[in-house]
Amino acid sequence: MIMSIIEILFIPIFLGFVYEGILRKVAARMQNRVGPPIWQPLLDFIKLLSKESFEVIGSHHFLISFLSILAVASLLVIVFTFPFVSLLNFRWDFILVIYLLVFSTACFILAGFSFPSPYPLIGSTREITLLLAYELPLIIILLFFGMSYYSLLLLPENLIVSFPLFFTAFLLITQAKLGYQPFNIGEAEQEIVAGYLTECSGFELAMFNLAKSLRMFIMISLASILFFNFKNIVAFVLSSLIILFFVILLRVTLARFRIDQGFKFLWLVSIPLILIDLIRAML
Amino acid sequence: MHKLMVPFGPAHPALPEPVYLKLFLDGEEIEDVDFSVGYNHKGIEKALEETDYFKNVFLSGRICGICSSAHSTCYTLGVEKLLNIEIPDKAKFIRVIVSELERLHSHLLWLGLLGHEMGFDTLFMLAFREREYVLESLELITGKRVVHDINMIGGVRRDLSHEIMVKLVKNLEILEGKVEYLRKLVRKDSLIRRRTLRIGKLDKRDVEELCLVGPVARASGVLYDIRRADKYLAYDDLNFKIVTQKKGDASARTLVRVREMLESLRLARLAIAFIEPGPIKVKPFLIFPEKEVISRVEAPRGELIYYIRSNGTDKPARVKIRTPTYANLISLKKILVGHTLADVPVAVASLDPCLSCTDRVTIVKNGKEKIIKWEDLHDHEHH
Repeated sequence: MIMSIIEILFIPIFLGFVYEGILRKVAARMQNRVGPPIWQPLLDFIKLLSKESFEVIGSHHFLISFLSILAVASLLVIVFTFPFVSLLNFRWDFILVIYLLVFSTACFILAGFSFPSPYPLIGSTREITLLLAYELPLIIILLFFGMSYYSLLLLPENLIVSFPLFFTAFLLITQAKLGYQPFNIGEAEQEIVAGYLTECSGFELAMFNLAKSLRMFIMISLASILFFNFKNIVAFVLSSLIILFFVILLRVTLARFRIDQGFKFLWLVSIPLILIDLIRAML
Repeated sequence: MHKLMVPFGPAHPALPEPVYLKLFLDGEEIEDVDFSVGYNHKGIEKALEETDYFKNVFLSGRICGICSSAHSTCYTLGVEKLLNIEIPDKAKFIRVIVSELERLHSHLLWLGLLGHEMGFDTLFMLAFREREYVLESLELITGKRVVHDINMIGGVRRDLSHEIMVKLVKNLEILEGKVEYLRKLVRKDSLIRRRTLRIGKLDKRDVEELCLVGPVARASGVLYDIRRADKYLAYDDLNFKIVTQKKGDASARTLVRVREMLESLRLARLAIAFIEPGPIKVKPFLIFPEKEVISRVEAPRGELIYYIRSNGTDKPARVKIRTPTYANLISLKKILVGHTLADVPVAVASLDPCLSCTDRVTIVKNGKEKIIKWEDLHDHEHH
C-alpha cells in the first residue's frame, strides 16, 4: 500500500494530535477531571502559530526556529520507514530510525542550550543525562531486531510473545523519551518551569509541541510495529491505542523521579530486562 | 565550575506563594540559599489598630485563606481574655469542630500540593476531591466554605442543629475512609517515599535551636502542641493523641500531617458527641481595661500567637501577630543546602509555608533593602 506524500505528511501529524488529545482526556478522567476536548492540541497548535514569537536577547533566534523545524522533519522522516508507508524500507533501516530519534531529541536539547537562561540550561543538561540512560537500551532493542530481521518491513507478527521483557523495557523507554512521569525530569515544571522550552514562544513553541505530539505517535507506532505488527490497519490502530493506554496509566499513577534516581532506575531495570530476553533468544 | 544563581519565585509554578528564593547552584547541588519575603504585605496589623474590637474578628479571619478560623479564634480568645469572659461550653465545642475541620482541609490541601511538587498530579486531584467533603461540612456549620467567620467575642455566631450534626457525622465517616486510603498511599507508594525520605532533615536539636513549631517540630520528635500545652477552648476535656515522628525529614512531616488528619477527624466527632443543648454566646461587658494579653492557638501550621495591647478605647492600641510560617521559614537554609534543585519544591513544601499571613513589609529604595526602626515608622505615619 503506497500513499501519496501529502497523506504521509498529514496522517502522522493528525494522529499525533489525536493521540495527545486522547492522552489529555483519558488522563483527566483518571484524575477525576473533565479534561479538554480531544481536538484541543490541534487548536493549541493553530493558536500558537498565530502568536508572535519573541526574540530572546542573547539567544540565536534563527537557530532555534531552524531546530524546531528540524525536530519535526526528522520525526516525519521516520514515518517513511514504517511498513504501511514503505518508501524508505531498506536493509538496516533500524539504524536510520535510531539516528533520527536521537536527532530530534538533540534538536530540543540544542534549542535549550541556545537560550541564556538558567531554566532551559538545566532542563537541557538533565535531558542529556536522561538520554544517556534510555538511549542504550533503546539501541540494543532496535539493533537486535535489526540484526534478526534486517528491515522493519520483514518483521514477523506478535513478537511480544517471544520478547515480553523487551516490551516492558520499551514501555519504560517510551515514557522517558516522551518526557512523561516518572521521567518528566527535563521539563519538570515545579523545578525549572518548562525546562528546555521555557523561553520558546509562538512559531517555535508550536513546532516543538508538534514535534512532541509526533514523537508520541512515532514511539507508540514503533512499539506497535515492533511487538504486534498487525498488517490490518484497524488492528494496528487498536494495538497503538492499547500501548497509549499504558503510557497514560504510567503517567497518571506515578510521581517524578529525581534525575539520579531516574538514571539509576533506567539502567538497573531496563538493561537487566533486556539482557534476560537477549540471553533467552540466544539460547 | 561557574556558579549558577537560579531564582525560585516570587512568581513560580511550584510555589503559589510569593517568596523569593535565590538558589546558588553548583551543578544541580545547592550551595547556598538566600530568601526574602515581603511581596504580599497587606498592612493588616495596622488595619487592626484602626478598627474596633468587634469588626477586627472578621478582619483577622481574612489574614489567611487557609487558616482563617485559627486567626479569628486566636484573636477572639485574646479579646475574651482581655474582657475576662468565659464563653459557654457549646460555643467552645463548635469552635473546636471548626478548628479541626480547618486543620483537615489545610492538611488535605497541603498533601495535594506535595503531590503536585513531585509531579504526582493525581494525588493533587485526589486530595482536592476529598477536601470537598470538608468544605461541604464547613459550609453546613458556618454557611461559608473558605472564610468561616464563625467566631464572635463571647461565643459563636451560629448554632449547630441536630440535622446538621447528623449530616456532619455522615460526612466525617466518609472522609475517614478516604483519608485512611491517602495514608496508605503515602506510606506505601515507593516513588513518594523515594522523593521524601531523607529530604530536608531536621533533628531534634535543630528544632529546639531554631524554635520551630507545628508539624515540622513534631516530625522531629518534639512533643509540642498548643492544644496540649495551653489547653485552650475545650481541648482539655477531649482526649487526643499528639502525633510525632522521629526522623525529621519530609517523609516524617508527611506522615505526621496525614495521621493528624485522622486525629482531627476523631476529635471533631468526639466534639460533636460532647455537645449539649445550651446557649452559644454570652453578652460581653463592654469596657476594655488597659491591659496587654497574649493568646495562642495551634493553627494547622503550628503555634499562632496574638499579642493585643489595649489603651482603654474601643480600638486595640497594638495587635502583633506571629504566624507559624514566620517561625518555620528560618529553617529553610538548613533544609535546602546540600540537596539538589529537584528536591527544592518538596523540601519547601514540606514546611507548608503560608506566606500571605507571614509577610512583613520590606522597604526598597534605589534597589537596596532598607531596615526601618520603630520610631522612624511612627514618623512615617504622621507625615
